[in-house]
Amino acid sequence: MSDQSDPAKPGAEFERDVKVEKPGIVGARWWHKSLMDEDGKVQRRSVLAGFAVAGGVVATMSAMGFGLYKLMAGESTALVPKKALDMQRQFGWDFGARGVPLVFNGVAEGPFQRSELRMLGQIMTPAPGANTKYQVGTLIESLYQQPTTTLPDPQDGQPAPDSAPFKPLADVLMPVITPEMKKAYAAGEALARLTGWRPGLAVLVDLPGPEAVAFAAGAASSFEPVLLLDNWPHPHGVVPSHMTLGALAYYQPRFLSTRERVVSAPLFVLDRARLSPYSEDTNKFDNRYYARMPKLDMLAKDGVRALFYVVATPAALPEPADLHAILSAKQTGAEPAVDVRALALSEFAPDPSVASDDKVYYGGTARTDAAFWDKYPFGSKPATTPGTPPASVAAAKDYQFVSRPAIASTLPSLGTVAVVATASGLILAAALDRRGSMNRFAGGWSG
Amino acid sequence: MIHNIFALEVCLRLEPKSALREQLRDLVMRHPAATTPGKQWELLRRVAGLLIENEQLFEKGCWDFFDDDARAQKDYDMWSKGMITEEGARKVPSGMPAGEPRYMTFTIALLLKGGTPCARQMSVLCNVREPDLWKRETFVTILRGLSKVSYAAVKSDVLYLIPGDPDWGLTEADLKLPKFEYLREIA
Repeated sequence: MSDQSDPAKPGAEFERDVKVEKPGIVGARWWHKSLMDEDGKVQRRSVLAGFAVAGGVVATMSAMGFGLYKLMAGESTALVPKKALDMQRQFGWDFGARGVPLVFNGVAEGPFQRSELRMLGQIMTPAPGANTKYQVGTLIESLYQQPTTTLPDPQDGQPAPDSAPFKPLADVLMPVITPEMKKAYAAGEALARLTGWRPGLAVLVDLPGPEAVAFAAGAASSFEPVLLLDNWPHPHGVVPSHMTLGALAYYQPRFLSTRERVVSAPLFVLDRARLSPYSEDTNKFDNRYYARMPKLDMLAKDGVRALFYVVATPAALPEPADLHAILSAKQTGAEPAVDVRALALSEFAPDPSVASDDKVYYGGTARTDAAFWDKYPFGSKPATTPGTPPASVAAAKDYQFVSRPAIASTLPSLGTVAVVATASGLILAAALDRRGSMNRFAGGWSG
Repeated sequence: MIHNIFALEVCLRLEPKSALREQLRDLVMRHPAATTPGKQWELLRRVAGLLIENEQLFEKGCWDFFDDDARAQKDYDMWSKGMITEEGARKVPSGMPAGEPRYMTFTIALLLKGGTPCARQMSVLCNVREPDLWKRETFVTILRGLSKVSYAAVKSDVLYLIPGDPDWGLTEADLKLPKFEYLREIA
């Protein structure tokens, strides 16, 4: 039985400060108030504020948390940058814009079983093997995530921000198919046909999200998709990644049917819109991110010897700053180096002399298609003179991945959003509409 | 205040017909936000009792007791973050396909007031010979010993279960990930 010779205090109580209730995990933590009071070093307030700032901000504000909020009502507030993804995980994918609909262009017609979305994550997870470690499936994780906490009520009597009922993204997602996706799918199919099961190949598709997914679907018979999609959609997102998710939903049956492969050459799927221009003056939600592409030395260890870097057109070269250091890196590993060559979607087109089907061919004719491997003789250098690469190339195959003058590859503010927070770290609101939210909260609580 | 820490995590086979996961979930999630030491002790006793009743499902596990103050605070924070950051949880459902095993974990961590009879008792309970550290009987003995915990000396406790929903069980591949290396086979 309980040993009551310990320093019991009549009426001493425990209070829960964190409760997590997710499909993947459930749990809770309680604190003993009297022992916390006894311990002068750890005051309840600082503990909770500390968790709010450093603990991944997943804590549900319980009765104790609400008390804290009241306690802080006299504190000054400020705009504070927070990681956009952290805020979405805590307050919901539509943080600061609850009830604002997502706009889907090219909604697919035909049957769509929404319940099947539950399997999307599993279908898009690479089979156990070398590719598993590279997968960045953050985008798919957004589908069923629930907010873990809510924003506190403002003191002006108005409803709390984001107080409308929350809908999981899976409930509002629509499958999409656009003409551009169809072209990308056909090009992916063509590449799979050309490469067959040739060993040592990998592909990095850097197209607008929906097209990148479509290309992966087209090539799925020969290449295993490996997602590098590291953000969540948002109604005001700089990156329209809900369209990418919609494309994944559309091609889900295709990805399912191609999971049984003889080979597992990786095809990395990147959204070119990940670094779209953004001005902090707008009311956009900065859900941009940097590519987490594996280094060529790592791919070499997995047996990759040749990497196709797929872009929309040669004009999309050079590669963005977040890929430059990786694709142009001098490889020093023990394995043979990975040869990287660019390939453009625009270089695939139907052959006017073949009217039989929707096939596209490299170079636009069956003859140029047959010469594909002559154009891409991996292991030899591209035809252009080494040195400073030309500002533009007529054909992607001629582009050279060489080190260029330093480009600022990281922006400290990328992927962050402004929130209204107290000095102790309690988050009061998103600040997408800066002036409005700030005035509303500062008016009530600033001392 | 000097702190001690006790923590135990056990990984069990997730049996489709077993009500264990649901029972553990209900116990933790329905426990009141504001409660008393007695009720908190009762929660721990019932959780430990359920685990003991299902000891045949134990596959892997680990447990710790440290009386070093800095280590105790750091480790308790680490165990708490295991829940708060959902580190061990799957991000997508795994389903329950026939023939493929699924697993669950249950974690208990107690931040204790050092120098108390309770802390001393836990220290004695966890003084286990090296060859017996990872034996099933040892886990059961320690779980039984939790009924001696006095919540007057527990500054904080955290209890969590993976998965929350039955379709999100851990797979064999999950358990081979580096993040689960701390779990050892229970003999």
